[in-house]
Amino acid sequence: MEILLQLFPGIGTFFEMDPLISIARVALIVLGFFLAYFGFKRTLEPLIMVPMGISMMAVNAGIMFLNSGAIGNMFVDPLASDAVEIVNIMQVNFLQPIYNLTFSNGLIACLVFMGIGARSEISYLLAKPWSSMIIAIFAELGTFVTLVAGVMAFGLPPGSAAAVASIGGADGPMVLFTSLMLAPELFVPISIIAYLYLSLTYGGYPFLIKLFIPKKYRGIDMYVDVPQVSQRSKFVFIVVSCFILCLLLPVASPLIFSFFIGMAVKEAEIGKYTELLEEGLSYFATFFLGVVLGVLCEASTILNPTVLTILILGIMALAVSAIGGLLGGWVMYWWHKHRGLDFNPVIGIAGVSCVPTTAKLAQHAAMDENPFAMILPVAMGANISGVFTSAIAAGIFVSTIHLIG
Amino acid sequence: MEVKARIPGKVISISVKEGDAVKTRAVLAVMEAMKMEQPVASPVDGVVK
Repeated sequence: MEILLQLFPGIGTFFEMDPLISIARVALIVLGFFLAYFGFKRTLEPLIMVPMGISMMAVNAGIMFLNSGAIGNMFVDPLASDAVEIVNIMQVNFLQPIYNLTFSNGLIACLVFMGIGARSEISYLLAKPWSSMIIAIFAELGTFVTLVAGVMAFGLPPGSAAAVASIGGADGPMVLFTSLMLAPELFVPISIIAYLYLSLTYGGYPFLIKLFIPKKYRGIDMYVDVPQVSQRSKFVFIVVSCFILCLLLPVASPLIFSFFIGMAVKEAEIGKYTELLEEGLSYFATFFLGVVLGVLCEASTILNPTVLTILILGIMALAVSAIGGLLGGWVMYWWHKHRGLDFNPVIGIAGVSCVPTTAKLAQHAAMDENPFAMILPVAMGANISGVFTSAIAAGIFVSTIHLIG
Repeated sequence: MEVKARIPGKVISISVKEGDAVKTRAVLAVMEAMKMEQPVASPVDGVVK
Protein backbone atom coordinates (compact mmCIF):
# COMPACT_ATOMS: atom_id res chain seq x y z
CA MET A 1 0.00 0.00 0.00
CA GLU A 2 2.82 2.35 1.00
CA ILE A 3 4.58 1.56 -2.24
CA LEU A 4 1.47 2.33 -4.27
CA LEU A 5 1.17 5.72 -2.61
CA GLN A 6 4.82 6.44 -3.37
CA LEU A 7 4.36 5.39 -6.98
CA PHE A 8 1.36 7.66 -7.47
CA PRO A 9 2.29 10.78 -5.53
CA GLY A 10 -0.73 12.67 -6.77
CA ILE A 11 -2.84 10.34 -4.65
CA GLY A 12 -0.19 9.72 -1.99
CA THR A 13 0.07 13.39 -1.12
CA PHE A 14 -3.60 13.45 -0.19
CA PHE A 15 -2.73 11.42 2.87
CA GLU A 16 0.28 13.48 3.83
CA MET A 17 -1.45 16.82 3.83
CA ASP A 18 -3.57 18.53 6.40
CA PRO A 19 -7.10 17.12 5.89
CA LEU A 20 -8.52 20.59 5.41
CA ILE A 21 -6.09 21.27 2.60
CA SER A 22 -6.86 17.91 1.02
CA ILE A 23 -10.56 18.75 0.99
CA ALA A 24 -9.81 22.17 -0.48
CA ARG A 25 -7.71 20.42 -3.12
CA VAL A 26 -10.61 18.23 -4.16
CA ALA A 27 -12.95 21.22 -4.15
CA LEU A 28 -10.58 23.14 -6.41
CA ILE A 29 -10.27 20.24 -8.81
CA VAL A 30 -14.05 20.12 -9.07
CA LEU A 31 -14.23 23.90 -9.38
CA GLY A 32 -11.63 23.75 -12.14
CA PHE A 33 -13.78 21.26 -14.04
CA PHE A 34 -16.85 23.45 -13.68
CA LEU A 35 -15.11 26.64 -14.74
CA ALA A 36 -13.63 24.97 -17.80
CA TYR A 37 -16.96 23.40 -18.66
CA PHE A 38 -18.93 26.62 -18.28
CA GLY A 39 -16.27 28.36 -20.34
CA PHE A 40 -16.79 25.70 -22.98
CA LYS A 41 -20.55 26.26 -22.90
CA ARG A 42 -19.98 30.02 -23.12
CA THR A 43 -21.88 30.64 -19.89
CA LEU A 44 -18.69 32.16 -18.55
CA GLU A 45 -16.03 33.93 -20.59
CA PRO A 46 -14.22 31.12 -22.41
CA LEU A 47 -11.04 33.08 -23.11
CA ILE A 48 -10.18 33.09 -19.42
CA MET A 49 -12.21 30.29 -17.93
CA VAL A 50 -11.10 27.42 -20.16
CA PRO A 51 -7.36 27.85 -19.49
CA MET A 52 -7.96 28.81 -15.88
CA GLY A 53 -10.27 25.90 -15.13
CA ILE A 54 -8.04 23.30 -16.69
CA SER A 55 -4.87 24.60 -15.06
CA MET A 56 -6.64 24.88 -11.69
CA MET A 57 -7.68 21.28 -11.98
CA ALA A 58 -4.26 20.13 -13.18
CA VAL A 59 -2.23 21.89 -10.51
CA ASN A 60 -4.37 20.49 -7.72
CA ALA A 61 -4.28 17.00 -9.15
CA GLY A 62 -0.57 16.92 -9.93
CA ILE A 63 0.83 17.46 -6.47
CA MET A 64 3.91 15.50 -5.54
CA PHE A 65 6.69 15.01 -3.00
CA LEU A 66 9.50 17.38 -3.82
CA ASN A 67 13.17 16.55 -3.27
CA SER A 68 13.32 18.60 -0.11
CA GLY A 69 10.54 16.45 1.39
CA ALA A 70 8.01 19.25 1.03
CA ILE A 71 4.86 18.92 -1.02
CA GLY A 72 4.44 20.95 -4.17
CA ASN A 73 4.00 20.94 -7.90
CA MET A 74 6.03 21.36 -11.08
CA PHE A 75 4.06 24.31 -12.36
CA VAL A 76 5.03 27.26 -10.25
CA ASP A 77 6.19 28.12 -6.76
CA PRO A 78 4.71 31.53 -6.01
CA LEU A 79 6.51 31.72 -2.67
CA ALA A 80 10.03 31.56 -4.04
CA SER A 81 11.56 34.89 -3.12
CA ASP A 82 15.30 34.55 -2.82
CA ALA A 83 16.92 35.57 -6.10
CA VAL A 84 19.08 32.45 -6.38
CA GLU A 85 16.11 30.29 -5.44
CA ILE A 86 14.00 31.91 -8.15
CA VAL A 87 16.59 31.43 -10.87
CA ASN A 88 17.00 27.78 -9.87
CA ILE A 89 13.29 27.15 -9.80
CA MET A 90 12.80 28.85 -13.17
CA GLN A 91 14.77 26.03 -14.68
CA VAL A 92 12.51 23.43 -13.15
CA ASN A 93 8.96 24.75 -13.02
CA PHE A 94 7.72 25.47 -16.51
CA LEU A 95 5.46 28.36 -15.62
CA GLN A 96 7.84 29.96 -13.14
CA PRO A 97 9.42 32.28 -15.73
CA ILE A 98 6.01 33.49 -16.82
CA TYR A 99 4.95 34.06 -13.25
CA ASN A 100 8.07 35.86 -12.09
CA LEU A 101 8.68 37.84 -15.24
CA THR A 102 5.19 38.84 -16.33
CA PHE A 103 2.92 38.60 -13.32
CA SER A 104 4.63 40.12 -10.37
CA ASN A 105 5.64 43.16 -12.36
CA GLY A 106 2.25 43.66 -13.99
CA LEU A 107 3.55 43.07 -17.52
CA ILE A 108 0.77 40.65 -18.31
CA ALA A 109 -1.88 43.11 -17.18
CA CYS A 110 -0.32 45.77 -19.38
CA LEU A 111 -0.24 43.46 -22.40
CA VAL A 112 -3.93 42.68 -22.03
CA PHE A 113 -4.59 46.37 -21.70
CA MET A 114 -2.68 47.15 -24.88
CA GLY A 115 -4.99 44.71 -26.64
CA ILE A 116 -8.06 46.41 -25.20
CA GLY A 117 -6.74 49.81 -26.26
CA ALA A 118 -6.10 48.56 -29.78
CA ARG A 119 -9.75 47.59 -30.02
CA SER A 120 -11.22 50.77 -28.59
CA GLU A 121 -12.66 53.20 -31.09
CA ILE A 122 -12.34 56.59 -29.52
CA SER A 123 -14.73 58.37 -31.87
CA TYR A 124 -17.63 56.77 -29.97
CA LEU A 125 -16.54 58.84 -27.03
CA LEU A 126 -16.83 61.93 -29.18
CA ALA A 127 -20.49 61.35 -30.03
CA LYS A 128 -21.60 62.45 -26.59
CA PRO A 129 -18.47 63.14 -24.55
CA TRP A 130 -20.04 64.77 -21.50
CA SER A 131 -22.77 62.19 -21.05
CA SER A 132 -20.23 59.40 -21.47
CA MET A 133 -17.86 60.79 -18.88
CA ILE A 134 -20.58 61.59 -16.35
CA ILE A 135 -22.07 58.12 -16.63
CA ALA A 136 -18.61 56.60 -16.25
CA ILE A 137 -18.01 58.62 -13.10
CA PHE A 138 -21.34 57.47 -11.63
CA ALA A 139 -20.40 53.90 -12.51
CA GLU A 140 -17.30 54.12 -10.32
CA LEU A 141 -19.58 54.37 -7.30
CA GLY A 142 -19.11 50.71 -6.51
CA THR A 143 -15.36 51.16 -6.21
CA PHE A 144 -15.59 53.90 -3.63
CA VAL A 145 -18.46 52.39 -1.65
CA THR A 146 -16.61 49.08 -1.45
CA LEU A 147 -13.42 50.78 -0.29
CA VAL A 148 -15.31 52.36 2.60
CA ALA A 149 -17.24 49.14 3.35
CA GLY A 150 -14.02 47.14 3.26
CA VAL A 151 -12.31 49.33 5.79
CA MET A 152 -15.22 50.14 8.08
CA ALA A 153 -17.45 47.07 7.97
CA PHE A 154 -14.88 44.35 7.30
CA GLY A 155 -11.86 45.81 9.02
CA LEU A 156 -9.54 45.39 6.07
CA PRO A 157 -6.39 47.47 5.87
CA PRO A 158 -6.90 50.33 3.38
CA GLY A 159 -4.55 48.79 0.82
CA SER A 160 -6.41 45.48 0.70
CA ALA A 161 -9.79 47.22 0.70
CA ALA A 162 -8.70 49.39 -2.22
CA ALA A 163 -7.46 46.34 -4.13
CA VAL A 164 -10.78 44.54 -3.67
CA ALA A 165 -12.69 47.73 -4.42
CA SER A 166 -10.99 48.02 -7.79
CA ILE A 167 -13.16 45.08 -8.87
CA GLY A 168 -15.90 47.70 -9.14
CA GLY A 169 -14.06 49.26 -12.04
CA ALA A 170 -14.81 46.07 -13.95
CA ASP A 171 -11.44 46.11 -15.67
CA GLY A 172 -9.43 42.92 -15.31
CA PRO A 173 -5.95 44.39 -15.83
CA MET A 174 -6.72 47.26 -13.48
CA VAL A 175 -7.66 44.86 -10.69
CA LEU A 176 -4.49 42.83 -11.28
CA PHE A 177 -2.39 45.95 -11.17
CA THR A 178 -3.99 47.46 -8.08
CA SER A 179 -3.78 44.25 -6.10
CA LEU A 180 -0.17 43.69 -7.11
CA MET A 181 0.71 47.15 -5.84
CA LEU A 182 -1.50 47.40 -2.78
CA ALA A 183 -2.19 43.87 -1.54
CA PRO A 184 0.19 41.38 -3.15
CA GLU A 185 -0.63 38.67 -0.62
CA LEU A 186 -4.27 38.79 -1.71
CA PHE A 187 -3.44 39.05 -5.38
CA VAL A 188 -4.45 35.49 -6.23
CA PRO A 189 -7.91 35.35 -4.63
CA ILE A 190 -8.75 38.90 -5.73
CA SER A 191 -7.88 38.23 -9.37
CA ILE A 192 -9.67 34.90 -9.58
CA ILE A 193 -12.78 36.33 -7.98
CA ALA A 194 -12.60 39.45 -10.14
CA TYR A 195 -12.47 37.46 -13.38
CA LEU A 196 -15.15 35.08 -12.17
CA TYR A 197 -17.51 37.92 -11.33
CA LEU A 198 -16.74 39.81 -14.52
CA SER A 199 -17.86 36.74 -16.44
CA LEU A 200 -21.01 36.62 -14.38
CA THR A 201 -22.02 40.22 -15.10
CA TYR A 202 -23.40 38.99 -18.39
CA GLY A 203 -25.96 37.02 -16.44
CA GLY A 204 -26.67 39.39 -13.58
CA TYR A 205 -26.72 42.83 -15.16
CA PRO A 206 -29.77 42.42 -17.42
CA PHE A 207 -31.74 41.72 -14.27
CA LEU A 208 -30.47 44.94 -12.68
CA ILE A 209 -31.37 46.86 -15.82
CA LYS A 210 -34.93 45.55 -15.71
CA LEU A 211 -35.15 46.33 -12.02
CA PHE A 212 -34.13 49.95 -12.29
CA ILE A 213 -35.48 50.98 -15.66
CA PRO A 214 -39.15 50.52 -16.50
CA LYS A 215 -40.04 48.96 -19.85
CA LYS A 216 -41.13 52.07 -21.63
CA TYR A 217 -37.80 53.81 -21.06
CA ARG A 218 -35.69 50.91 -22.22
CA GLY A 219 -36.58 51.17 -25.86
CA ILE A 220 -35.78 54.84 -26.36
CA ASP A 221 -33.93 55.35 -29.58
CA MET A 222 -31.25 57.98 -30.01
CA TYR A 223 -30.12 59.58 -33.22
CA VAL A 224 -26.61 60.81 -32.67
CA ASP A 225 -24.12 62.18 -35.07
CA VAL A 226 -20.88 60.38 -34.57
CA PRO A 227 -18.71 63.31 -35.58
CA GLN A 228 -16.20 62.52 -38.26
CA VAL A 229 -13.09 63.48 -36.38
CA SER A 230 -9.90 63.32 -38.38
CA GLN A 231 -7.48 60.59 -37.47
CA ARG A 232 -4.89 63.24 -36.81
CA SER A 233 -7.06 64.87 -34.13
CA LYS A 234 -7.79 61.53 -32.56
CA PHE A 235 -4.13 60.57 -32.54
CA VAL A 236 -3.06 63.87 -31.01
CA PHE A 237 -5.82 63.63 -28.41
CA ILE A 238 -4.70 60.15 -27.46
CA VAL A 239 -1.04 61.04 -27.11
CA VAL A 240 -1.74 64.23 -25.16
CA SER A 241 -4.16 62.47 -22.78
CA CYS A 242 -1.54 59.80 -22.19
CA PHE A 243 0.97 62.50 -21.31
CA ILE A 244 -1.37 64.29 -18.91
CA LEU A 245 -2.51 61.15 -17.12
CA CYS A 246 1.02 59.77 -16.79
CA LEU A 247 2.15 63.10 -15.40
CA LEU A 248 -0.64 63.15 -12.83
CA LEU A 249 -0.57 59.47 -11.86
CA PRO A 250 2.92 58.11 -12.40
CA VAL A 251 2.24 55.04 -10.29
CA ALA A 252 -0.38 53.91 -12.77
CA SER A 253 1.60 55.06 -15.78
CA PRO A 254 2.43 51.54 -17.04
CA LEU A 255 -1.26 50.78 -17.38
CA ILE A 256 -2.11 54.20 -18.74
CA PHE A 257 0.69 53.99 -21.24
CA SER A 258 -0.38 50.49 -22.36
CA PHE A 259 -3.97 51.50 -22.96
CA PHE A 260 -3.12 54.65 -24.85
CA ILE A 261 -0.41 53.10 -26.94
CA GLY A 262 -2.91 50.47 -28.03
CA MET A 263 -5.30 53.21 -29.13
CA ALA A 264 -2.52 55.25 -30.72
CA VAL A 265 -1.29 52.33 -32.79
CA LYS A 266 -4.83 51.78 -33.98
CA GLU A 267 -5.35 55.40 -34.99
CA ALA A 268 -1.99 55.58 -36.71
CA GLU A 269 -3.11 52.55 -38.68
CA ILE A 270 0.19 50.77 -38.24
CA GLY A 271 -1.28 47.56 -39.56
CA LYS A 272 1.37 45.17 -38.31
CA TYR A 273 1.38 46.64 -34.84
CA THR A 274 -2.40 46.71 -34.59
CA GLU A 275 -2.41 43.06 -35.56
CA LEU A 276 0.30 42.33 -33.03
CA LEU A 277 -1.48 44.06 -30.19
CA GLU A 278 -5.01 43.14 -31.04
CA GLU A 279 -4.25 39.53 -31.79
CA GLY A 280 -0.86 38.05 -30.99
CA LEU A 281 0.06 39.81 -27.76
CA SER A 282 -3.45 40.18 -26.46
CA TYR A 283 -4.40 36.54 -26.80
CA PHE A 284 -0.99 35.35 -25.64
CA ALA A 285 -1.39 37.45 -22.52
CA THR A 286 -5.01 36.45 -21.92
CA PHE A 287 -4.20 32.78 -22.36
CA PHE A 288 -1.28 32.81 -19.95
CA LEU A 289 -3.21 35.00 -17.57
CA GLY A 290 -5.85 32.30 -17.38
CA VAL A 291 -3.29 29.53 -17.06
CA VAL A 292 -1.20 31.20 -14.36
CA LEU A 293 -4.23 32.33 -12.36
CA GLY A 294 -5.48 28.75 -12.37
CA VAL A 295 -2.10 27.38 -11.43
CA LEU A 296 -1.81 29.79 -8.50
CA CYS A 297 -5.03 28.34 -7.09
CA GLU A 298 -3.32 25.77 -4.99
CA ALA A 299 -5.36 24.68 -2.01
CA SER A 300 -3.15 26.35 0.56
CA THR A 301 -3.23 29.72 -1.17
CA ILE A 302 -6.97 29.68 -1.41
CA LEU A 303 -7.65 28.81 2.21
CA ASN A 304 -6.95 32.38 3.16
CA PRO A 305 -9.77 33.54 5.50
CA THR A 306 -10.01 36.81 3.65
CA VAL A 307 -11.42 34.95 0.63
CA LEU A 308 -14.94 35.10 1.97
CA THR A 309 -14.61 38.84 2.53
CA ILE A 310 -13.38 39.28 -1.02
CA LEU A 311 -16.28 37.23 -2.36
CA ILE A 312 -18.76 39.50 -0.61
CA LEU A 313 -17.03 42.80 -1.33
CA GLY A 314 -16.41 41.86 -4.95
CA ILE A 315 -20.06 41.30 -5.73
CA MET A 316 -20.94 44.44 -3.80
CA ALA A 317 -18.49 46.44 -5.88
CA LEU A 318 -19.92 45.26 -9.19
CA ALA A 319 -23.54 45.53 -8.10
CA VAL A 320 -23.16 49.05 -6.70
CA SER A 321 -21.22 50.13 -9.78
CA ALA A 322 -24.06 48.90 -11.97
CA ILE A 323 -26.60 50.76 -9.86
CA GLY A 324 -24.42 53.86 -9.90
CA GLY A 325 -24.12 53.64 -13.66
CA LEU A 326 -27.87 53.25 -14.11
CA LEU A 327 -28.36 56.21 -11.80
CA GLY A 328 -26.04 58.16 -14.08
CA GLY A 329 -28.18 56.99 -16.98
CA TRP A 330 -31.25 58.45 -15.28
CA VAL A 331 -29.50 61.72 -14.57
CA MET A 332 -28.57 61.99 -18.24
CA TYR A 333 -32.12 61.10 -19.21
CA TRP A 334 -33.55 63.98 -17.22
CA TRP A 335 -30.80 66.35 -18.30
CA HIS A 336 -31.61 65.62 -21.94
CA LYS A 337 -35.39 65.64 -21.44
CA HIS A 338 -35.02 69.11 -20.03
CA ARG A 339 -33.68 70.13 -23.39
CA GLY A 340 -36.25 68.19 -25.39
CA LEU A 341 -33.73 65.54 -26.46
CA ASP A 342 -33.80 61.77 -26.18
CA PHE A 343 -31.56 59.72 -23.97
CA ASN A 344 -31.86 56.06 -23.14
CA PRO A 345 -31.12 55.51 -19.41
CA VAL A 346 -30.07 51.89 -20.12
CA ILE A 347 -26.81 53.32 -21.41
CA GLY A 348 -25.91 53.85 -17.77
CA ILE A 349 -24.93 50.21 -17.41
CA ALA A 350 -22.29 50.66 -20.09
CA GLY A 351 -20.44 52.99 -17.75
CA VAL A 352 -19.29 49.87 -15.91
CA SER A 353 -16.32 49.37 -18.12
CA CYS A 354 -16.42 45.72 -19.05
CA VAL A 355 -15.59 46.51 -22.69
CA PRO A 356 -17.59 45.71 -24.81
CA THR A 357 -19.82 43.38 -22.78
CA THR A 358 -21.79 46.04 -20.92
CA ALA A 359 -22.27 48.21 -24.00
CA LYS A 360 -23.72 45.22 -25.83
CA LEU A 361 -25.89 44.44 -22.82
CA ALA A 362 -27.31 47.95 -23.04
CA GLN A 363 -27.98 47.53 -26.75
CA HIS A 364 -29.65 44.16 -26.18
CA ALA A 365 -31.86 45.60 -23.46
CA ALA A 366 -32.92 48.43 -25.75
CA MET A 367 -33.49 46.11 -28.71
CA ASP A 368 -35.68 43.84 -26.61
CA GLU A 369 -38.19 46.68 -26.26
CA ASN A 370 -37.55 48.38 -29.59
CA PRO A 371 -35.90 46.28 -32.29
CA PHE A 372 -34.85 49.35 -34.22
CA ALA A 373 -33.12 51.12 -31.34
CA MET A 374 -29.45 51.77 -31.94
CA ILE A 375 -27.77 53.07 -28.81
CA LEU A 376 -24.56 51.08 -29.22
CA PRO A 377 -22.38 54.07 -30.25
CA VAL A 378 -23.34 56.08 -27.18
CA ALA A 379 -23.02 52.98 -25.00
CA MET A 380 -19.54 52.36 -26.38
CA GLY A 381 -18.64 55.94 -25.58
CA ALA A 382 -19.69 55.38 -21.98
CA ASN A 383 -17.81 52.07 -21.97
CA ILE A 384 -14.54 53.63 -23.04
CA SER A 385 -14.95 56.54 -20.63
CA GLY A 386 -15.42 53.86 -18.01
CA VAL A 387 -11.96 52.53 -18.77
CA PHE A 388 -10.52 55.99 -18.22
CA THR A 389 -12.33 56.46 -14.93
CA SER A 390 -11.25 53.08 -13.60
CA ALA A 391 -7.67 53.83 -14.62
CA ILE A 392 -7.85 57.16 -12.84
CA ALA A 393 -9.44 55.58 -9.76
CA ALA A 394 -6.76 52.87 -9.69
CA GLY A 395 -4.05 55.47 -10.12
CA ILE A 396 -5.46 57.61 -7.31
CA PHE A 397 -5.70 54.60 -5.00
CA VAL A 398 -2.18 53.47 -5.61
CA SER A 399 -0.80 56.99 -5.25
CA THR A 400 -2.67 57.99 -2.13
CA ILE A 401 -3.58 54.91 -0.10
CA HIS A 402 -0.17 54.68 1.48
CA LEU A 403 -0.76 58.12 2.92
CA ILE A 404 -3.72 56.78 4.94
CA GLY A 405 -2.56 53.27 5.80
CA MET B 1 -34.42 60.13 -48.69
CA GLU B 2 -31.19 58.51 -47.73
CA VAL B 3 -31.22 55.85 -45.05
CA LYS B 4 -27.84 55.81 -43.35
CA ALA B 5 -26.25 53.10 -41.27
CA ARG B 6 -26.34 54.05 -37.61
CA ILE B 7 -23.08 52.34 -36.74
CA PRO B 8 -20.15 51.11 -38.84
CA GLY B 9 -20.61 47.42 -39.61
CA LYS B 10 -21.31 44.80 -42.27
CA VAL B 11 -24.48 44.48 -44.29
CA ILE B 12 -25.46 40.86 -44.06
CA SER B 13 -28.75 40.84 -45.92
CA ILE B 14 -30.97 43.15 -47.97
CA SER B 15 -34.65 42.39 -48.00
CA VAL B 16 -35.91 44.86 -50.59
CA LYS B 17 -35.18 45.67 -54.23
CA GLU B 18 -35.50 48.73 -56.45
CA GLY B 19 -39.09 49.77 -56.92
CA ASP B 20 -40.44 48.12 -53.78
CA ALA B 21 -42.97 50.10 -51.82
CA VAL B 22 -42.18 50.20 -48.11
CA LYS B 23 -43.98 51.49 -45.07
CA THR B 24 -42.48 53.25 -42.06
CA ARG B 25 -40.41 50.90 -39.91
CA ALA B 26 -40.27 48.21 -42.62
CA VAL B 27 -36.99 46.31 -42.43
CA LEU B 28 -34.83 47.20 -45.41
CA ALA B 29 -31.67 45.33 -44.55
CA VAL B 30 -29.86 43.64 -41.70
CA MET B 31 -26.45 44.81 -40.53
CA GLU B 32 -23.95 43.26 -38.23
CA ALA B 33 -21.78 45.32 -35.91
CA MET B 34 -19.76 44.07 -32.96
CA LYS B 35 -21.24 40.60 -33.40
CA MET B 36 -24.80 41.88 -32.99
CA GLU B 37 -27.43 41.92 -35.71
CA GLN B 38 -29.20 45.19 -36.31
CA PRO B 39 -32.24 45.74 -38.53
CA VAL B 40 -32.11 48.84 -40.72
CA ALA B 41 -35.63 50.26 -40.90
CA SER B 42 -37.30 52.71 -43.18
CA PRO B 43 -38.18 55.99 -41.43
CA VAL B 44 -40.93 56.87 -43.88
CA ASP B 45 -43.43 55.35 -46.30
CA GLY B 46 -42.00 55.32 -49.78
CA VAL B 47 -40.51 53.56 -52.73
CA VAL B 48 -37.03 52.04 -52.84
CA LYS B 49 -34.78 53.65 -55.45
